[in-house]
Amino acid sequence: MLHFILKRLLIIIPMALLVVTVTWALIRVAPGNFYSTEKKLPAAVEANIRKKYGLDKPWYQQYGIMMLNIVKLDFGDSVRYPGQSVNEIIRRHLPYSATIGLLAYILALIVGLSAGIIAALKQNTFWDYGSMAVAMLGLSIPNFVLGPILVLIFALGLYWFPPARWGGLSALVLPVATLAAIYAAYIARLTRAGMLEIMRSDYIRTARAKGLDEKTVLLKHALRGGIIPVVSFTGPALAALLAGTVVVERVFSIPGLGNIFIQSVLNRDEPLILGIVAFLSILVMLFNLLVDISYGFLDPRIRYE
Amino acid sequence: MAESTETVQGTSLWRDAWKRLLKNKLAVFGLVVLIVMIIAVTIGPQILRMTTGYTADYIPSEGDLIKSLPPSAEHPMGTDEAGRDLLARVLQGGRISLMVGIISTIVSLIVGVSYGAIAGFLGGRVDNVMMRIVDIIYAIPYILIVIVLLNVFGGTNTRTLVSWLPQIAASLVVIIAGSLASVVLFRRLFERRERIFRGVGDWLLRALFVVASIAVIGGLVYGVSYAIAGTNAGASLAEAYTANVNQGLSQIFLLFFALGLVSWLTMARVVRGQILSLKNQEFVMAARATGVSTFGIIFRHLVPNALGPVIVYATLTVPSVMLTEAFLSYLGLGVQAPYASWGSLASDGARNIAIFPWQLIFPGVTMALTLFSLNFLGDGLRDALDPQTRKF
Repeated sequence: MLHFILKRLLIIIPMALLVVTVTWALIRVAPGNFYSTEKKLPAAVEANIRKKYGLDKPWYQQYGIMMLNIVKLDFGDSVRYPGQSVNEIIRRHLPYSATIGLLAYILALIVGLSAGIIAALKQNTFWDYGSMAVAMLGLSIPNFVLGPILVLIFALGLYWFPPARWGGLSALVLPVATLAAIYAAYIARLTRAGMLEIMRSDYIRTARAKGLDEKTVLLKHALRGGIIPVVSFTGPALAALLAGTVVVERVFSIPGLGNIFIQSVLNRDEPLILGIVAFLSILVMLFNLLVDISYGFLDPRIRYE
Repeated sequence: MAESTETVQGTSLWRDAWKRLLKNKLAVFGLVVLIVMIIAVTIGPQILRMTTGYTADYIPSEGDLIKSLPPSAEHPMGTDEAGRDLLARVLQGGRISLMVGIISTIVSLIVGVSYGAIAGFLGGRVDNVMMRIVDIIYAIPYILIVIVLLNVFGGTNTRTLVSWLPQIAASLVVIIAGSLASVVLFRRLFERRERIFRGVGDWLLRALFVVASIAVIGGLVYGVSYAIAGTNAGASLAEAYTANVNQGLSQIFLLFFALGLVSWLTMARVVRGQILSLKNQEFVMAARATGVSTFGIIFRHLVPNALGPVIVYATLTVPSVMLTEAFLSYLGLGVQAPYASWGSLASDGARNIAIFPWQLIFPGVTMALTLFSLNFLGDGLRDALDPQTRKF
């Protein structure tokens, strides 16, 4: 087990460097520059800029310098916001995204798991069809439609919550609910499918046969195996939630990391793009490792050498 | 006798699936809504123009200062900021949204199926490398890839891309066929028990083989693309493109490609897994034992069996691509004015939610209803075509 964890941890480093390399190549392939605007710059100014950012060197030297710095975890300064280091920008904006992302995932887990379990237990009844139809609705409404509609009803209509801005618990309700909807829907569907599959397996029949009451069978035996698909979904979902909250951030004017990332891509802010991509890819791989470790606890039949 | 078994066998799989699909009420609902929606966006704009005279880009020249009118008998969905009839725009936008969904899915099908099938068919080290490449692309945020693709091929570069299309297509075919052939040949030559040479000699021979096959593939690509370029297919294609396509449409065509090229990854995984598991199954072995040829096995057994999951996954790719297009339009990167899609209409409406809520609600609800139907249809197809993994 320890060997497995160490091996996986070590693989993260070259994988992240590969991802950064491909990203760098992608940015370099695209025409244009971060400094080019509508107006053509004088040649001397352009040469100065290129010199300052080391763009006058051959590409392999630029690549080498960038990789060396990244290995030292120094992504340099943003070219769009001079004087602000990439690390600083990520540190400043991550807490907003992380807060709404984590809260949204917890909410999605509570709603999705209970809806999925109820649907599985009362299979082919009104509850089953009803909750699955609602889940499908959650998957089908784009969140930039859901967010403004929630604002219209609960902020502008009923005055329950503020329509935007950061601060206080009540301001968190609408963005978290908007973000959670699609994940709750996914989790509900995964839970239902997983539970139904497990409920038909041999060890559940054995548990019933040895006279355990229904509650123990359900909560101690079936649930542990049934939520494995949900656990596999958690890794990528959490990473996406920590960064992919652009729409919610825009709708509710929250200064999170997702919007910063989109802006950096549109501005071609190379150090910032590379920093965020490296951060995210490491995060995804770490979450996936955690997920793989937790399989062993959820299902004793899964073992790693 | 032989004839009767043939008919029973030929129809049972798909007819069975169709019967199962018709029993699923939600999937039938989805199918009906979808058909109605497709008919509406196909002939709706013309009917609307004939009956009320409104089109998607008709801007009334006079009128009130505030042009956004609430829904009324004249404008069933109200009007947008410029006073254009929203119903006409929603119908027109539906064409583009559905087209983006379908064409991008076809692009992702072509790329994903060929990539996944090659990886699964060849297996071993080739498969390993190909799947690691997929993992790495997975780790790069797709939005970055889309923006770079739109950037690289946008504007005047689109013309160049179009003129390259014949070469790209020819090269792809040659590369796929060539690498398949060379890997198969490589296996035949070197991965037998009795090798011709041992030790260093074997390695030298392998290296020589790799170099030679790269040279041959390169030569073939060059030759075929030169032959096609020689007929000026690319140039005349580009000519026709610039004559018939304006900037806005060009952006939409690019979107088809960009979205298709970022959504093939899961398809590749699905197909690879399918081929891998089918390759070693008993019925394939049985077919082989009874003397069916490799060709026969691939087309009679592997393809029909892998088709189910591919159809199911393709149906589910359409709504996800449409959502991505809407998201891009929300960021201002998708469909540009004067063209509209449900995504761009809804994101325009989202800005005015406090004063003109109908500008968000009508396109948003139309889009959600379509995605809802597509998702249900996809689910129903999965249950119908794939009884083993169906969700009970």
